[in-house]
Amino acid sequence: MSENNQELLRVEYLKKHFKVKRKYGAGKQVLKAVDNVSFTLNRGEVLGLVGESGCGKSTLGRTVLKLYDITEGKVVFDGTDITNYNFKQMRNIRKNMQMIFQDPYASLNPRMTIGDIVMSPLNTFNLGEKKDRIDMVCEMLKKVGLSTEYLYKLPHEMSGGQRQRVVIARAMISNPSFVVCDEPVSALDVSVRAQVLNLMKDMQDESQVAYLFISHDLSTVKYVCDRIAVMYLGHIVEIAESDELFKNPVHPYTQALLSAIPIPDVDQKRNRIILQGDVPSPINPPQGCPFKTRCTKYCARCDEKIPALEDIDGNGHMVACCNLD
Amino acid sequence: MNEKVKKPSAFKEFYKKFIKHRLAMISLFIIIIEILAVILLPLVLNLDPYTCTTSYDAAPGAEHLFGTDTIGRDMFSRVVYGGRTSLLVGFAACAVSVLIGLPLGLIAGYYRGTAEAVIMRTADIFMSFPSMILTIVAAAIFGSSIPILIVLIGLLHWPQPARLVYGKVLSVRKMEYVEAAKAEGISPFKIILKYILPNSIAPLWMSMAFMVSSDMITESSLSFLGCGVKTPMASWGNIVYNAQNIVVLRAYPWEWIPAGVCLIITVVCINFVGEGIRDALDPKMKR
Amino acid sequence: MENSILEVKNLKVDFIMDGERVNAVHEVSFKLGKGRTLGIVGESGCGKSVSATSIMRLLPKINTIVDDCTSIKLDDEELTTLSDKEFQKVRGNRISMIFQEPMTSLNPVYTIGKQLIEMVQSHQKISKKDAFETCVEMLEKVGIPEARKRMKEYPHQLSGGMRQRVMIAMALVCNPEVLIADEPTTALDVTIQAQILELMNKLKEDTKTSIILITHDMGVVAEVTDEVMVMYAGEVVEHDDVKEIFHNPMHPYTIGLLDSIPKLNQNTERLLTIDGTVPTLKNMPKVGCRFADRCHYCQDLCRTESPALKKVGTREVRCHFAGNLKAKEDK
Repeated sequence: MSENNQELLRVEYLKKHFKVKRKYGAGKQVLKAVDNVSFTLNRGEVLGLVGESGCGKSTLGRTVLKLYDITEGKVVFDGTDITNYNFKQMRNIRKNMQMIFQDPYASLNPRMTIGDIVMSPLNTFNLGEKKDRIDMVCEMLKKVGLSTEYLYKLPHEMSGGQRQRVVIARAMISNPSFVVCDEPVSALDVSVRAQVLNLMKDMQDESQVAYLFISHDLSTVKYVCDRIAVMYLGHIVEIAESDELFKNPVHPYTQALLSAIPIPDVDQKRNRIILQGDVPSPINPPQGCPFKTRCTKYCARCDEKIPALEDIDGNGHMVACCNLD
Repeated sequence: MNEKVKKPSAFKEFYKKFIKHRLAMISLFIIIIEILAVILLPLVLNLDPYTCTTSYDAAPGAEHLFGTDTIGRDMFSRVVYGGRTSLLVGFAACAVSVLIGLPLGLIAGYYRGTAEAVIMRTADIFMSFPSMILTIVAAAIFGSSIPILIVLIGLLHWPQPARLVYGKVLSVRKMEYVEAAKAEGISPFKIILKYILPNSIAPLWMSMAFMVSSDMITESSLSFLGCGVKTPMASWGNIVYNAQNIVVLRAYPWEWIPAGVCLIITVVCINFVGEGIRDALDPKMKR
Repeated sequence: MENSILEVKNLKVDFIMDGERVNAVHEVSFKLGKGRTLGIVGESGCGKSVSATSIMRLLPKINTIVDDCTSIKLDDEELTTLSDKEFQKVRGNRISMIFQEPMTSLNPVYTIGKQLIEMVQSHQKISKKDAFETCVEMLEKVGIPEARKRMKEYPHQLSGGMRQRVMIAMALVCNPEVLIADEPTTALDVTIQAQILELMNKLKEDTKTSIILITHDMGVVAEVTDEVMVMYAGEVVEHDDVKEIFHNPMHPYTIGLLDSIPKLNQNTERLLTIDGTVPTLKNMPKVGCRFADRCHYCQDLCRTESPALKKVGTREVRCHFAGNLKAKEDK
């Protein structure tokens, strides 16, 4: 996975702000879902994006795909700056960037057959000869472990795991180089989860596609990702190689997050860092470091400015914290 | 790769599910009979709904199957001819409303923003305006032939389907499969057609049934006010309205019961057919 | 387990779906010791929630049939023979329940205080003022800051974690003997989940309430429970002390379940999986082991004969070959 170190996606100072109507009376507030996020993704790499609900990880994934308009910043995909691309220009790019959704019960059109759903990208991007398309679909279905008898079935006739396979087939059939996976297994049952994760790994090994793997489940992320970025309140607070992050978490939030996960192991007793309080609202984020309200290492410096990501070991382990020493 | 599975035809699926819905099947049958009757009977039977005979308020008998009305016209012929008018106005006006309302509702719900504001506020205006007065004025200006009536009634009732579809689209557009379609690069027009429309049309089937019946009633009221189908032309509505005095109501029930019963049966049947269509189109219903 | 507080025997629940009678829970029996925490684990549709809600008598009467041979004893008092009215006094008072969705299980039009006080007053003869004080105390106990102020607030003014704390307070305010928690942390974030689990552990020590914790998360089970009952397709497949189960799972399903979770503390090259999916209620295998179709160790016997719950030491396990599993040879 690592030899082809070419950069596929570069995101620079990306901001996505939503205007929210105030509850009473007029006036609008700004919800900073994603604020000043920068990262790169190499060809064939799997980058995990973890954080709690509302931290902006899904918004980031969708903004990179330009499903949302970009408020500020830059997205460079495969060497081309797509920040200001319009619908038509995006269409040529979309063949190479796809998405896998969280809820396999909601992400398939209930009125379309499985065959039509998987074939749809072929029609949209005009791939292959018309008469060959059905065979391409069958082949794809076989690849994701579904027999061709499902071709004319409707989504509701299938189980959650099977539907998620269909979603994966739809995303992969145009042979994309980049796929955003938004919590692809969190809606599935435990025993089915492993099947789907393995399938996604197999697809990745085979086609060298790059994943942006969004999840709140760190153990899943660890299993599939090469690198992991931790998000909190719209900011990336730490980003590092997967093993490095788990061995040596630096940001207080990452440390707390890692210690908060219940581990299915009865012998290991850990020192838990239990964070107090809740995540602040992204409409009214704290001044300075976004994490300061719950941080165990809070000090005066945290009030001053939003800390920027700094490379702490010269090897790509980046942390945004004022108390790095 | 050649183990091709046969593609089931969408219409066959629909048909298979629809015939399972017994009430809807019976209702459809009745409606078809009604339509055939109003079209064919005048051709075969040489009916005359306009000539006044000398037997006023005659009870049903061999000569006049449903009796005669206060000025001696044959009630059976009037009911049959009235059916022509009522069914035509009901269905056609409903079609006009849906043709206008459905696309507007889809556009308002999908694009939101300005389109939504303009379309939905206009709908509100239409709904809050006393439509009867508007129709009367319009009928006075343009005359009250049946085509004009159809367009008028249809025009006035477009907000109903529009609002219904709009409400459903608001929830459907947030579904992940719509987002998936966007991520796939499918054009907005196709998204609306293939993803939004099939998933938001379900409530419309039921309400179309109501609309047909309410359009038939609107037509009746207009006739009654003298702005609709003019007497001597018959419609079920104006037959019932003509019987609106206590003597006729009590002494000559044949002058209004047949038309009234036809009206009720039609409305009920249309409702059941609407329900049948909705259920048969629901992919989650068992075959 | 001498002094068990809740004893369930032969719980059997059938649903009527489209005129067909399908079995949802089959022969579930367990004893819950005083002050112990029992974890019920399984995937969706395995009957874990149905078991709990049928103990609480919260299933809709129209389409559920709880079998007559079922016996549920709370502190040696038979509950199944109580009338609905008598049961009212037990529910919420002696057994209470926390649900998965803290957003929907509080009434949005009443204040937290009103809902809590109503709960207390419906079970205890107590003045409104005293009830208020009890509730404030309870809210403080579950770690809600400024409890007095919160009493006057509406559910939507609280965050998800806070709401779940209120739910716990509401469940515990009458000092129940048994608390049933149905996926209490599934809808919450990890850091909030950690807070709630810590709280539940603390409360258990303080109040000596026995807890039934229903979850699908093996991690949560390992952290809070004393014993585990693994359910599959409406049946208990394995039941033992939590340490025993994790160290030495005997049922192929438990083994598969434990192997299929990615571990944080070790590197996994490839996850082992359980093939196939959980059978739906309607296509439950009628004869033989319900897990047979997905089992790596399935043999002919498994197809023809339903295994009974076997006792192996303290362990109860529903498998013909528990203890000497032999992998099926691939053909």
